[in-house]
Amino acid sequence: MNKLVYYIGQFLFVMLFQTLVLNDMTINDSISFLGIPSFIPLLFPVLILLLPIRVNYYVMMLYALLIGIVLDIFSNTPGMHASSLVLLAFLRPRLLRLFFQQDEKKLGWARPTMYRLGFMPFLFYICFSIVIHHLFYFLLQEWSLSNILYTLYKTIVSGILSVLMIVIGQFIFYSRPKFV
Amino acid sequence: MRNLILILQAYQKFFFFLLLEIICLVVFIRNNNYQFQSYLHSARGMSGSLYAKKSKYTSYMSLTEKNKALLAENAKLKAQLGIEIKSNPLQDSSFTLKRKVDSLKETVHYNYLPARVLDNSFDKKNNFMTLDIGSNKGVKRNMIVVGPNGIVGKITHVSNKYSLAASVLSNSFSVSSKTPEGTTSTVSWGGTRNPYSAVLSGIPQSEKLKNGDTIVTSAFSRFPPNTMIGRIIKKRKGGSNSGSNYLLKLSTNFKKLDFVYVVVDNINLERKVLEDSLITAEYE
Repeated sequence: MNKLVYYIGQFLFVMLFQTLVLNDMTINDSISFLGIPSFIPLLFPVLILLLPIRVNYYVMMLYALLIGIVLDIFSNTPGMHASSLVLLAFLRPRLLRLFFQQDEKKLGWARPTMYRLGFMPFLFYICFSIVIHHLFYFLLQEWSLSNILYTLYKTIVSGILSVLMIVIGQFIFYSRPKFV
Repeated sequence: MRNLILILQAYQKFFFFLLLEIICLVVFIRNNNYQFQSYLHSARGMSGSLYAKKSKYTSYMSLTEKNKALLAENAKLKAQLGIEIKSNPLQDSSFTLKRKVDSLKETVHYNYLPARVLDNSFDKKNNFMTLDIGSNKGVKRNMIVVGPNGIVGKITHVSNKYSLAASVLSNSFSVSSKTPEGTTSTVSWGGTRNPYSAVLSGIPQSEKLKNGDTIVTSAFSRFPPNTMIGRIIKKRKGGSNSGSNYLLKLSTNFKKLDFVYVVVDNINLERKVLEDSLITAEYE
């Protein structure tokens, strides 16, 4: 029960922060001389990435679909967020196995936070997931391979900011556990 | 049959993923256009009211700027109306010639419905803005939206209280335009991906446009004729034999857009009905 309230709170906080704050700060004005396109950080993949390691696969997939549909309604992109989040949720167990194979049994129901996993493994895990999610999302948005460089550029600049925000969020919202 | 069931069981998780992903992609591909038909849009009740609440609080942030913009617009409108300012009220005005205008006999081409922009985006391929008026104020699909400084977009979705407008910053949105010399051509945003500029294409090689020339909407467009689109910044490299391309600076600053007008066209109703039937036929 307590956990359910926690996840609903996390969902509401991240979604409101994304739709009301981040979607509005299109970062372009100050650095447009470099030819960087308008971009925004996408924080919401963190909702999927920070679920407990042994969470039920089907619950996770349906949760990803729900997040995607809500975001699609708010940003007028039917199906775009939903399909990229479903892909991310499908790949998450594989990414976790890739980076924390030996610890998987030991970690159990723990959330893959920075203090549990250590800084570098966590960073690799987040970077990989964010790049996959952003690349798929921006490829869908562009819907052509003719200006693939533009898509890659957007993935990189938006991804760097997203990763930065997630790592800062770890420092703010999670405290170092007393015993390790 | 038994083997099929065994395969389905063995790859249960993968097939579940495939099912969800295909549903999402079908929804996406069917609606990958700014005139999409899906119900997933932000002019709906819940998202609309959330954006309305946000706008209620964030609208205080730049009141000075907004007041200045409104003042400038008022001044411009007064200049267009030509209201005389009498320098001396005691002056004898019996000799000044006054043109009498019977306002009842004049036809009003366009009515303007004021609206507020609740939410606006610039970073996508098709960008939309949510407006705070809907069918309760008489907004209909395919109505044109203009701002105080120039063109803004077109209504694509209407709900009872809110409506959604595709802004000019959408990939396949094109506007029929007119150069100062009267050549008609097309303005579209597709190539630039910058919220401040658009591309003017199809200008014949014989015509040389200078930097700073104003481009306005032509009578062919559904926008009110002679609405400002933007000014020319520079000539673009390339361009086909049929014409050269120019880069425009849009006169509407989409990042600071707050008040817009939805245009109700009273004259071209017949033309509109015909065009709307064509558009809906195209996307159905």
